[in-house]
Amino acid sequence: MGGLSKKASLIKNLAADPGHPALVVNGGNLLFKTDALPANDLEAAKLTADGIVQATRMMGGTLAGIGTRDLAAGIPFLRQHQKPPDFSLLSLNLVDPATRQPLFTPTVMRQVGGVKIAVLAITDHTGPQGKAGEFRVLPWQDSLQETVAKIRHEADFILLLSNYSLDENQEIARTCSDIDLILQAGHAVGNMTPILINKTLISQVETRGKYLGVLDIDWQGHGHWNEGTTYTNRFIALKLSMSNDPEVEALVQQTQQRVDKLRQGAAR
Amino acid sequence: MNNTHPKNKSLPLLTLLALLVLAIFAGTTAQATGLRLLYANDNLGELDGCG
Repeated sequence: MGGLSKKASLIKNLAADPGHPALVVNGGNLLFKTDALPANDLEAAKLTADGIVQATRMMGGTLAGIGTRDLAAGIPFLRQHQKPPDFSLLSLNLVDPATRQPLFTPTVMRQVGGVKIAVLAITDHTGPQGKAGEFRVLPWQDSLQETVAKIRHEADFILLLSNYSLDENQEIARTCSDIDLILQAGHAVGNMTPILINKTLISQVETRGKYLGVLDIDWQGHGHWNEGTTYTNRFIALKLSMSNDPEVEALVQQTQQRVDKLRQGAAR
Repeated sequence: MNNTHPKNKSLPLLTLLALLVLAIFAGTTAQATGLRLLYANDNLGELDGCG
């Protein structure tokens, strides 16, 4: 039992290192397996997602990008978990079709040690669009450059959580050179060692919570990946032999029992 | 009483110059700052995925 409880234990240990002030980041597609959920499994999937958000918050997660799969249970469900500043679901281009205004937080600022980080997220617009006018996902070209231009003087470091493919993220890196790091979600590529495109580093972790990415940076400022800024990146496998965080383990077990009970009731 | 000392007069200027040099030095020397990002993606609804 308990990939999330092992992850929680690992994160708490890594975040306790006083030499490395840490930020816990969920790139997107946190909640559901697919873009659409079968009606007979909707409630069980929602219960599981509730548990995942609670566990994420217990391990220090305060933000997550919105991937297309996070939209599977609809906007009202997702809004139940939107609790800024404690927990923010982010998307710049997931908008209300009528007003074209973002439905969730477009960008947040986080102070991590001596570095002020702007975190923004974009959802893949080539994925499913909302039924009956619930939501619309606009192309990144409509708003990303403009938003980055607005925040670049307020932040020491700009982090983009992107639900787009690697090809598209490379195009983003060439177009928006003030973005320092892109963390990908979706378009599964496994553990991808960071690559530098223009002035932007791009990385991604294996799916289904099997690994945790750890990126340690000695930050020198925008555009310095080739001029003094050093970094090390690791992908740590969450192995069965690792210790569990007791609080998150209890939550995971409780959630699993509730899901099993619901599924057994539905099967009768 | 109106005796002035050129040496004393130049002291504030020298101090100002020294501060200016320090400010320029501080502005052009990047200060490395430690930062750790603990990141994951595509959990895909998993409660107990392991590697």
